[in-house]
Order: sequence, then C-alpha cells, then structure tokens
Amino acid sequence: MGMTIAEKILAAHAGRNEVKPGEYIWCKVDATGGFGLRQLEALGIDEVWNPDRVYMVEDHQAPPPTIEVANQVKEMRRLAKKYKIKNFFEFGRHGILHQLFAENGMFAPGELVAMGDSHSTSGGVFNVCSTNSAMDAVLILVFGELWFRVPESVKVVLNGRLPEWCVGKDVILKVAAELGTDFGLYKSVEYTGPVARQMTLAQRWTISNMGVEVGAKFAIFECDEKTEEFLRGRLDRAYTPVFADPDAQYETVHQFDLSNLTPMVALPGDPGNGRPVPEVKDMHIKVDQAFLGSCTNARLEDLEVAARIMKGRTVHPDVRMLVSPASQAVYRDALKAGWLEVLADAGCVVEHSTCGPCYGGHLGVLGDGEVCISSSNRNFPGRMGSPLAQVLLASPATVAASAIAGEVADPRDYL
Amino acid sequence: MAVAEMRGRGWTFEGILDVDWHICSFELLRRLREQGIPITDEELGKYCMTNVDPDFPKKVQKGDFIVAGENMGYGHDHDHACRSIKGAGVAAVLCDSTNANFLRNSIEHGLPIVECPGILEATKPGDTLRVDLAAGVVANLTQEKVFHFRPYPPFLLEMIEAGGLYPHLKKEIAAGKY
Repeated sequence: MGMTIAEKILAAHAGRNEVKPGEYIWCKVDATGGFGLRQLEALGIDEVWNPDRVYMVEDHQAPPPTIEVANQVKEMRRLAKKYKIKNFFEFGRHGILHQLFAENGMFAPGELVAMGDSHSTSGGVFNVCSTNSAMDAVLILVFGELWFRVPESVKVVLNGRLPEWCVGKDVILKVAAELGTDFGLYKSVEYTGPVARQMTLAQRWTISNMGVEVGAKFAIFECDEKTEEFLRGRLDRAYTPVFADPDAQYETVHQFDLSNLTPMVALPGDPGNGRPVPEVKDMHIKVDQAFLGSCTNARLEDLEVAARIMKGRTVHPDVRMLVSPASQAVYRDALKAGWLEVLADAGCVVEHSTCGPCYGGHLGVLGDGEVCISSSNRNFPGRMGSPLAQVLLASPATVAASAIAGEVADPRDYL
Repeated sequence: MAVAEMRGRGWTFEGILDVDWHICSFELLRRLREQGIPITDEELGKYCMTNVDPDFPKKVQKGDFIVAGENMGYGHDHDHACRSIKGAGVAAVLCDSTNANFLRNSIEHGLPIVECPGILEATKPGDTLRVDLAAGVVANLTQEKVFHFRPYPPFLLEMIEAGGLYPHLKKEIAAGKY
C-alpha cells in the first residue's frame, strides 16, 4: 500500500515499514524548542536528550517590554546555559523562531520536528513533518520521542501558472476561502502541482506557515532545487527528500487552477474570508495601519516587493506602516540591499524582528475601531490589539499599495 | 480510578466551543492571578462552560461526559480549558471531531477525548452513556445506540490513569525508566 509524505516520515521515525491514519505511535523527534526546560528542571532531570537539536529564542516579546518578561528571558538564558543549549539566540542575533531556526539548520527534508508555537507547521516547507508541541515538549527533551496519532492526508494540487504579482499569500487565502479554515483539521496537508514548483521557497513558506489557519497538523511541500538552495551551507548532516508514493491514499484531493488568480485579501474576522482585491478595492475600506511583518510574510523578497512599490512614494498621511523583518539576518540583508532605506524614506516605521504587532503584544497594537491591513496570518477579533479593531490579511505587495492609497488597493496599480 | 470503562450522563453542547471563551474564559486566568487565587483544576472547574450554561458546574456530576460537535476545543493551545473540564468532574469529552491542540492537552492532563462522528446528534441531554477506552466503544444506554472508535493504546491509558503526562513521567522516572 502506498504512503503519503507524512506517513513515510512518521513510519521512518517510528522504526516501522508503514503506518496508517488513526494509529497511535511513538516517534523519534529530530528537533524541538526549549519551552519545556522549566518542567524538565522541575522533574529533576539534568540533561536533555540532545542539546544540539534544541532551539531557543524570545521572539514574541523581544526585547522585553516589561520587567516580568525581562525576568522570564533571564530565566531562559539560565536554562539554556544549564542544559548546554548552543542554539540560544540573543537579541541582535534573533528573529521569529520559524525563520530563525530554519536559518540555523533546524530543518532538513524527511525530518520530524515538534516545538512550541502554533505556526510550527511552517517547517513543512522543507519537506519536514513539523508541528506544534505544547506541554509534551518535555517528552522530547527527556526521551527524544513523542507520541502521535497518524493524521489522514489531504492533497492540494496547485495547477496552472501563477499570474505576475500573485504570490503564495494570495494562493493560501484563495485555498482557505474555497475550502474553509477547517478542511485540514488534524490532517497532513500536502501541496503539489505546477504552481507549487513555480513558487519561490519564501512563497511556499507562507503557505506552510498558514497550515494551522486551515487546521493542519502538517503542511508539507516536496523538496526541490529551491529547497536545497536555501539549505546549502546551513546543515551539518545528510538528508533524503521524501516523496509520496504514486498510489498513496489521500482522504481527499483538492484541485485548484490558479492561472486567473488575482491578489487576495481576507476581510476581518477569519482567514477564510478571502476576496479578490479588485472586488474589495471598490468597497474603499480605509486603513489606519499597514503591517509588513511576522513569520508569514517578512522575508527578503517580501520586503523587496514592498520597497519596489513604495520607492519614490510615501505612506498616506492618515496611515502608519510598520515593517518588521522575519529575522535579524533578513534585516541585515534588506539593509544592505537598500530596501529598508526605501521603506524608511517612504515614511515606514522600520522595527527590528519581532512577533509583537502580529499578536497584539507590543510595538504597534491597534486601538478601538482601528483597521489594519497586515501581511500576517490571523485576523480574529482582538488578534492585533483591541477586540474592536479590524484586521485584513493580504500579501506584502497589497499591504504596501494599501499603505500608499490609505485604503485597500490593488498592487498591480502601483507597479 | 479505572479509566478504561466509564459510565455517566451526557451533557450536550452545540456549535463551536472555543477554549478561550466557551469552555473557560482566558480572561479568568488574569482575574484569578490578580486576586491571588491559586489556579487549580478545581478552581477552573467552577467556571467550566459558564459562558454557555451558567449553571453547568452546579449541575454536572463527577463522572459525567460533555458531548460536543465538530472541532471541539477550537483555538489556542491554552490548557486551562481542559483543566477546567477535568476540574468540573467531567470524566471524558465525546465529540464529532476535535482540535489537535485540545486533544493533546486534554489527554496529557488526564482527560480522555473520544472522537465519534455523529455522537452529538445521537445524544439527548441526560442520556446515560458508557465509554470503554480500551475497547473503543461508546454506548448510549438510554437510546440503545453503539458507536465505535479506535481504542486508546496502552501507553495513553497508562498516562490518563496516572492523571496526566507529568504524574506519569514522575512515576516513570521513579521507576528508573529514565
């Protein structure tokens, strides 16, 4: 019987020839985060199973906005030292975990990763089974193993050819709008097809990142030369890409023809509220804030497209635009490429790398009744600050165009 | 407590049940902290489902079940919700489907989640249910209907029997398994 990518990876990590959806199994896990170290210490255990494969950073509240958080980060540093975690990233060498850890070799095709943070499906872009692990991360830290219920697999075939100025964000907003935000509930969603191959790695990354927005356990892409190019020089180990068998059993196969896709924007309330930008443009939705950041869309090419749109233009007088690169490495690359200068000249606030604005934590939260167009992943009430604020989700290009226009705008009018 | 076989009444809840609002308000945690009240399962249990049914904690009896629909425990991976259900005395949650974070958190806090498509429609409030985790059977004794689900494997039964992941780990460590 043929197996899907997830079934093959889980079987290999369970030391078995095959696994079937619904089975409960124990798997060896290749890497995790450090959230469980406190519990590990409380259990009186003095070492982790493999300190080289534990990755730690404070990204949500970076650098600390309060004394309470400062003390928490102090505690993180102490635990990292105690447990000999070399992959602890200090502010200034930091970033949003999904980007930062990938830059530092956490993911290699065929691996299994579980770490704290709901957007841990992001790692799926590297042909990895990557998922969230909350209180059970301590099991990985002690034994290097974790239990799984083998998910059903769903295949999403992205057909056609993506039109110019449409990117991965537009694709996932389209997929979520068509299939709903629960089509992937506890499933391994595997993306394939001509558009999957056409997209840059960064665009695919957006789609894996928003795996959790469609309920997915894993959100996996195949490995190709674009994956390998990113990984080159970042890994200290060999890897074998995993492909689904031709006769793999998918619970459902969804086909999309994306040749006529337009830029998409998700209206407030749910990431599944996607509509074509040309349609929404006519609604003249005024925005107070534009946010270009988060683990979803703040990589170099995201900053580049925004800079290209904003070059020689300025942010609308009634709008503030916040820019936060996905990591310090992206920040430095964008600085050297001149993109941050263009964005600052256009009147953007260029922040350091942080999760802050995306989850309504700090460095730009929304007030009552305000409207934000954001390149991030969630637009539930209260996500970016006041429960009375409204958040629209869109690609970096649409965010930049809207910041200039002062209302939801089509990036194709600005290029 | 033998968790493999349980018997109690079913309390039905329709629609989306979010961990941070319907099951147990996330705001509550801040209020309890501010008032210096220790956040225990029992304390959280006093507020279980009160945003949907204010009297639920008073009505529910130890060993009863919550019966829910699709995507039970929707939302964040916050574990106060499953602790609240456990603290209210609920023995297990039966639902049409569940959220992955809620599933793991619940099991690891010692609260079994049983996914049985169709269970909500087949259950009337107050029905007597029997749940056998090891056999993978839910029986509605009032309606005389039987549902099957994939049995819990022994390692999860052990974890639930121990009261959750941490008590289980402590036992394992004490037994020299680490």
